[in-house]
Amino acid sequence: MSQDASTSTWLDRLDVRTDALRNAYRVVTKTRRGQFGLYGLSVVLFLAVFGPLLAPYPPLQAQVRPNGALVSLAGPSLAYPLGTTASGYDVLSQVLVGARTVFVVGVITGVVSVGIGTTVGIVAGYFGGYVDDVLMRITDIAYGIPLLPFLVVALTILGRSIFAITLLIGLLYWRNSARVIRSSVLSLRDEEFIQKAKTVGASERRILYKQVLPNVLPLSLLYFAFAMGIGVLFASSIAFLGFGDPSRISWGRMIFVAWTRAGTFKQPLWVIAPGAMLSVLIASVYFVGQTYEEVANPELGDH
Amino acid sequence: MSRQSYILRRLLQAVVALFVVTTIMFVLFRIAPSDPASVALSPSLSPKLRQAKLAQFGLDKPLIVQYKLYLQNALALNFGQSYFYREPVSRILARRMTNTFVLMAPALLIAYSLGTVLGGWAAWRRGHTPDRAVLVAATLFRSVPSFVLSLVLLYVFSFKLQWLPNGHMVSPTASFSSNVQKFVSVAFLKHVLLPVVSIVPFLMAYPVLLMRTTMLETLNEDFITMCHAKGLTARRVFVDHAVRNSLIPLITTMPIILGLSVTGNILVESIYSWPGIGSVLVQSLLKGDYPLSQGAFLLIAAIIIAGNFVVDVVYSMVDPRIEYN
Repeated sequence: MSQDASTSTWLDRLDVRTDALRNAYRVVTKTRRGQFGLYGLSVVLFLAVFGPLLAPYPPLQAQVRPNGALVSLAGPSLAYPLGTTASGYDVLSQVLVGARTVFVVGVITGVVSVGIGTTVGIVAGYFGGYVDDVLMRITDIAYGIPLLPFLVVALTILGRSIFAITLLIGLLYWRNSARVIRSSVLSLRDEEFIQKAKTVGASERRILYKQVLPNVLPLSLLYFAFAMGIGVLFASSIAFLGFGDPSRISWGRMIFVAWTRAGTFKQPLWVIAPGAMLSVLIASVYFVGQTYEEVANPELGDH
Repeated sequence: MSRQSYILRRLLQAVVALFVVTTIMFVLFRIAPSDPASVALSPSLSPKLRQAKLAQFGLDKPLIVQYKLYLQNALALNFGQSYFYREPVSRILARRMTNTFVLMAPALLIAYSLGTVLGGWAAWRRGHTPDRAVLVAATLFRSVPSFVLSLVLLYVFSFKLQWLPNGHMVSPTASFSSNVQKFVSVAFLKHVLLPVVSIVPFLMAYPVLLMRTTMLETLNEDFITMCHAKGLTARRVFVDHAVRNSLIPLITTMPIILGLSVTGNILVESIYSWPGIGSVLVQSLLKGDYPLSQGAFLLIAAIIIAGNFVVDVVYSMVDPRIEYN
């Protein structure tokens, strides 16, 4: 009997979790924009996993014609569907291989910034008082740091590794989610169920993990989506300006090389292919986030 | 809390933020693997000459003294000499600032006015095709990186059609008697068109979405029902009551848009060889001209922090309902 009870609570908990995911899926696919976003994200995720396997050529192998001439800046053909770069690399292969870098950068910046933002927001909102004051002043100061200028300066000095880039964006961008999550926790704090948990003697730790965290998680998820979009946008902007990790192929870096090698005009696909992929990824993330937000806040209108 | 003390507190916060950012810059540039001395001075200098040069840049003193000196100089807007241009950083930045302003101001103006109108229109036709179209367009606008849009526009209008120049503010041979004359000349307008069109969509997305959301919230409020009950036409309720009340929150987004505009400017200035603050920051970093980079960064940060402060003050003045807590 007692064993039955414990299994069922365990199953209940699992159910609640898969329900939350199923719920999120149902919510997001409610609009065509949300569906498009999910498809877009799935495509990029698929490329991030299998892209390097699908690439017809090694991304940094100069393509040579049978007569020994370099296939430089070639237009689209059967052998090279998206043409080649100035150095004779296959554009399609680079796009496929670059997907992984871009996707991983987006996910890590999202996790880092929303992780910090959620923690700061919950702690500031729940404990209030002095802690809140200090944390919010730090957030205010973080808002005074212009992102892209700070990133290019810091990367010049600290070195241009992909880890520095992802970590720095994450460490700067948490401010947005921190503010929103704090105000959500502020209103949660006075809710009856939290007051009741306190009355029956639940520890702070337990209340934070079991009552507060699950209630702000949807919001964190939403800000994760936005942070991921911003992460991809900033990382590719950095790469385009020439401050990216030179050892990684990414869509931003492809456009940087195309621009500096004057390939923009001679072989436009070299820019358009990675540019379109970047736009699709960022738009997908926003579409999913937006739909989630709208359906979660139905009072914002009938759409 | 009264309004005065609110403003005073915001001012204090702005000063602290500026101080922190300035200090972060000092720390960053001191831990640079290539210290300022080795970048600026050729290794072939004799030790004696090297020492003299170090003294000239104040790099021979202990760190804490350098920090004090650095803060004093920053207060006096003295950021030292550019290694590359051999000219005071502040003078270079002053010149570049005007150029950034003539690009930034029209872009922000167009983005805000167009964004407000489009967002309002979407809310007016909520749930219908125009609303969906505006929503999708706004999302696409902020998803296409402005450097990608710039390159596409350059390809079409400069390279293929050859209608517009591919960079710089005016053609190198042109000369003007004054800045005013330069900035109203046809040549300048032709040069500024593509850069502005390249950033406006990115800047516009946020005002569009916010205006739409605020409008939808306002339209649900009781006083709007009241207006309808009074017998006002739907159009009058919308324009005279809903739109007016939705404009205030737009003010609060200005710091965000200002931040985005700094980002956009760096990219667009670099692409169009626009001699502004953004492109000078990038170039000086790539060349290792650190005094100039430092000055450019601090100027940008100061603009952002001052912008945040001004918006807070303006907001507290236009919306008497604000709670100062």
